[in-house]
Amino acid sequence: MVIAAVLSGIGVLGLVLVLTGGNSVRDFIKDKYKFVGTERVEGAGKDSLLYASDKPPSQTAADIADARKPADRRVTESGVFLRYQDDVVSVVPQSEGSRVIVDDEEGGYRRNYLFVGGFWGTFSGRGQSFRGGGPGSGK
Amino acid sequence: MRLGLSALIALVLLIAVASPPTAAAGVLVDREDEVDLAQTLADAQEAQGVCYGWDIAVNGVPGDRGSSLDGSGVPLAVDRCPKGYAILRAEVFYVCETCDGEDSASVTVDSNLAKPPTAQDLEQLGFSATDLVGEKDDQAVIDMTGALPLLVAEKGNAPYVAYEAATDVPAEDKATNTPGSDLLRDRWPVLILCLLLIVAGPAYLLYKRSQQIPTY
Repeated sequence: MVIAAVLSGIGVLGLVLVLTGGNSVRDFIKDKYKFVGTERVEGAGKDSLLYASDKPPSQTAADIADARKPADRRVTESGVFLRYQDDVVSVVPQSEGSRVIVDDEEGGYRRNYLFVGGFWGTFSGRGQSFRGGGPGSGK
Repeated sequence: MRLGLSALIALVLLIAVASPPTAAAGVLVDREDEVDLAQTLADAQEAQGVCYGWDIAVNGVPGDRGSSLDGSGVPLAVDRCPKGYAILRAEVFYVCETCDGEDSASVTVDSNLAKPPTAQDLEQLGFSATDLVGEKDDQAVIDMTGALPLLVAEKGNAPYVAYEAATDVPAEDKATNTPGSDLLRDRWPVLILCLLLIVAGPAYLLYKRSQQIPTY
């Protein structure tokens, strides 16, 4: 009886901790990087949150992706873009280290349209042969 | 007439057999996307002075390739790159459906820069050679090659290609295919373990009861 209660109790406790613990990528970034301000992207539901990292973009993006696995990512000449359920995280270079920008889905898409346009949504620009996919979509 | 036709067929067959096997450009990546990639690299070259390219052999035959200098379909002419170059080189091997073994790939970065980007740098960004034989092989080529200017700048070989946020996005363009739950993606093993533990309690109880000898 005691063993059964302990097993189930640990399971319930673990479930509660997992479901209520700060799991979002927003929480992780808020805890790990220095907040430097906000920005407004037209069409976005929320303001963009800006943070500073003292590491270069690829390392910063790797730290974030290791801690909170993204559903999709794009690596470009100008930065790394991570896509989550409701958020888009942009890690772009700045004079020292990198800037981490957290947007909601629509804000992130619009901000980074030149980089993720067509990959994570619709794209009216040239060429849609590859573009138009998203997580789980293949060739 | 029949003799002439036979000679013509023989000639066509002879040419087909004698010609070196060449893969059509864009085996992994569509031509249009190769053109986009080449343009992106050309812009990076303009900002950094470093030449970029990609060269992917498929089953030993030149497949996808292109460069910041000459666009898609043409390998990078390194002798025209006085400030240095970085090329994503890969070999992809597909096995036939009825053959033993699996598709495989290898990736290297060919560069003459003082601190060149490496395949390990690409791994840190989340890419591995197996991505080139995966479902999104085309995006892997585009992203691995597109990452080179970023890595070149990070290593101090050249300035960064400036990030510019889009300012004029067509209203009809939206994000699509919203990803699934972050929680499930990130912590599904822990969730399953917790659920198993919750079920294990009653299961253990039932097991112990079934082991008890009935007393009358």
